[in-house]
Amino acid sequence: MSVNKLSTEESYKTLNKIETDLLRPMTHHKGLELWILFLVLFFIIGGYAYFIQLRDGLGVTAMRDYTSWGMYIGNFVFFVAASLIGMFISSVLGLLKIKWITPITRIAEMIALAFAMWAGIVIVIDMGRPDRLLNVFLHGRFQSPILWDVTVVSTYVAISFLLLFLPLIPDAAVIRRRLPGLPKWQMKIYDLLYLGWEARPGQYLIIKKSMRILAILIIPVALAIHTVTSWLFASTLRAGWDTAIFGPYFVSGAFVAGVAAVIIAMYFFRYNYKLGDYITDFHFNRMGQVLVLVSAIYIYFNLNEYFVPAYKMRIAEKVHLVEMFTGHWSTLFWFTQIICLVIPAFLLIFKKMRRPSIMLWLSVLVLLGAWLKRFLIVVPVQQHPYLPIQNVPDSFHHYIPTGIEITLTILPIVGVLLIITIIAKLFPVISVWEVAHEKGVDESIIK
Amino acid sequence: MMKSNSKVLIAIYFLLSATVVMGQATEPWVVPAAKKSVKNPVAVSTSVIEKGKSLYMANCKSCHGDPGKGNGLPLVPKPTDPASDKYQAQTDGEMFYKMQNGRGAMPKFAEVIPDNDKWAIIHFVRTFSKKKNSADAGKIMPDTLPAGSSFTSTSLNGKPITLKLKFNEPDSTLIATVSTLNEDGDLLPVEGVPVGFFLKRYFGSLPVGEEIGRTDKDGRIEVAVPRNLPGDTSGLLHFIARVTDPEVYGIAMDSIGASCGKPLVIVNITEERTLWGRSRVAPLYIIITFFGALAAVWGTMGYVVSNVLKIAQKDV
Repeated sequence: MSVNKLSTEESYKTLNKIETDLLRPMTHHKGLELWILFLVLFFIIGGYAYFIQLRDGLGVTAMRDYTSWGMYIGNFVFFVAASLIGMFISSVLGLLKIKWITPITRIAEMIALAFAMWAGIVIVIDMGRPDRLLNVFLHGRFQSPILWDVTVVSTYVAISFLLLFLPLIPDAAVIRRRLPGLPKWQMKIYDLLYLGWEARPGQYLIIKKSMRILAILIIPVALAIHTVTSWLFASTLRAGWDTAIFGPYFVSGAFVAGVAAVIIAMYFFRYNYKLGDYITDFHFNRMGQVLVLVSAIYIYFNLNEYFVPAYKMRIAEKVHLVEMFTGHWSTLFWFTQIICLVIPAFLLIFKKMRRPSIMLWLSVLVLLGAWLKRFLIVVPVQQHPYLPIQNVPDSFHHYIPTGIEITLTILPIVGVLLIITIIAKLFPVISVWEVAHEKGVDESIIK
Repeated sequence: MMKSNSKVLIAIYFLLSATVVMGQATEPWVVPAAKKSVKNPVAVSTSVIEKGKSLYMANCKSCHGDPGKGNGLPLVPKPTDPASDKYQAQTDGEMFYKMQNGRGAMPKFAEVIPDNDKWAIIHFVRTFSKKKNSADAGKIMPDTLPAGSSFTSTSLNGKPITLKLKFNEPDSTLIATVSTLNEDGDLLPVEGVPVGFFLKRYFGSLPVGEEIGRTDKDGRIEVAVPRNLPGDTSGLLHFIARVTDPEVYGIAMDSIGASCGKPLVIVNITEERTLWGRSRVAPLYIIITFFGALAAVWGTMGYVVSNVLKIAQKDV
């Protein structure tokens, strides 16, 4: 809107540069094979670990009668959280007409889709009898958050898929024109996807209208996915889960995890894909500010979540909170809260800190903290049931994840990286037509 | 359903009584001398022992455990193992008296198990005696007849007496007739026999009528049955009439089923629409919200997809 239209000649020149820059990583990728090989190798190791778990049952994990939700469920909550970023960047910021997000929307959507898809698989990993998965749908109870969770995760995957692939329609046309030498199977994907794109005004109208509808639709669905996930916990009576703010607490935490993940991906794509002209310091600066904002909200929810019950210290809550503040979990708890949340958020207030190299490490800390936080939400609560744990084997008292469990927790993370790698190999990580449009290129030539 | 209900009730009863009894000192259980010397009137036979065994398993094992294994419930005082020397040292009459009257956690079985069945249990328990069989007591008796048929026994003067129970629908009365056979084999009514009427309940029996009456000169006795007694789902009630002084008149009883009770209406709360119920009975608002939201979201997505596919059309 505000951008000056370029002349036809300039349009072609600018578009040519954008296309060259953004499509270049699709054909020039030093070390990609090695990276994929590494991921696949880990998949084989993880696959073997899963084989053992299938063969011997969930007894190979450290989960027992009391701590029956362990690392896997923590991982699941983390995945659902990270996937919420797609909605935040392209919907919330997009609908607010914030222009600078254009080059990072696709990165956010890729992260969202990859995490949402794997969230579903993480749940299957946590099942002792995955062959009975269908029973969740056949005999699921409408009154149970579990059924809602399964439903809403699948729905979110579907919308994220559409939100990622809709803007790829014009880009598929561009790829067909610019890179005709790609392997046949790859070209078939673009043939299927470009839908006869000819950059006609009517076609633009459809794409923009559809994206707008999806951007609105994904907001309630994304809020639902993480709220329902929080209700898996909050709808029980356990001290530590039985709190009314769990929904917004989870959602605000999800944005922290997602923004950190996007910053890490931005850094990686900027330097490895040489996209410095598109993902600039300005974008990092802005994303740093966003991270401060979402972290501040999350810290506020943390204060409510921990200090309101801590002021009252009802017996059951007290057992849990004392373990968190000064007891068994205190090191992990304060590391997560202070080192991985408060300090990064505080540092990022200063402009000097909002430089890509520093932000990368702060984001890694925040993302690590986001994962640990889910672990701290899921596991410790289960070790303090209302009735005392007695007359049970020693292993029921503690929860120390086993090697297989850790491997199968890393496996989905590797899976997310693999999906992102594949999407980034098949498509430009920055939307060609949207960037071109923003720079004033005549719309009708982007085909 | 009914069966398991009754088991639960029995278990609760036992536990409650057990708690009451806890802490009470175990005083010796003194049986009156007259009762102590009562002999087992039921003749021993394989089928009687078999019957005694199945009754023991159903009514006694839950506390006393398997005879000889000492695996009874850890109550205070601990239920005695029937195979133990201490237990076997008792007379048949003592065992019968204790079963009949109960004490503390030991329930009163007077109206729960028919007398001859209790004697059958004693026969079974005696098979664990080291002395083997105390069946020197008692006269030759027929095996217990199946429930519902009248039971014949010997009266004091050596003649068998019979009790017949009938239900008179219009007046809602139970009529028992006590008779005996004369030398010619004719039925003669017996007067003055005390007859008790009882209503079978989960555990034990409920007396019907204010007091135990005696038969008139026609050998008849009747008692009014209240019309508002709760029955089973079809309103069926099981009544028992028996001679209440068997030591004088011999054992005689009869039972009858009558559909004169108020039918029990079972409200199955698992069939109601509740948050905690099965999926099939989920609250309607949840089902509507679920499918409504699903239809709205997936419908919108379908609309978007169908719109996007129009991009391929030439005229767009």
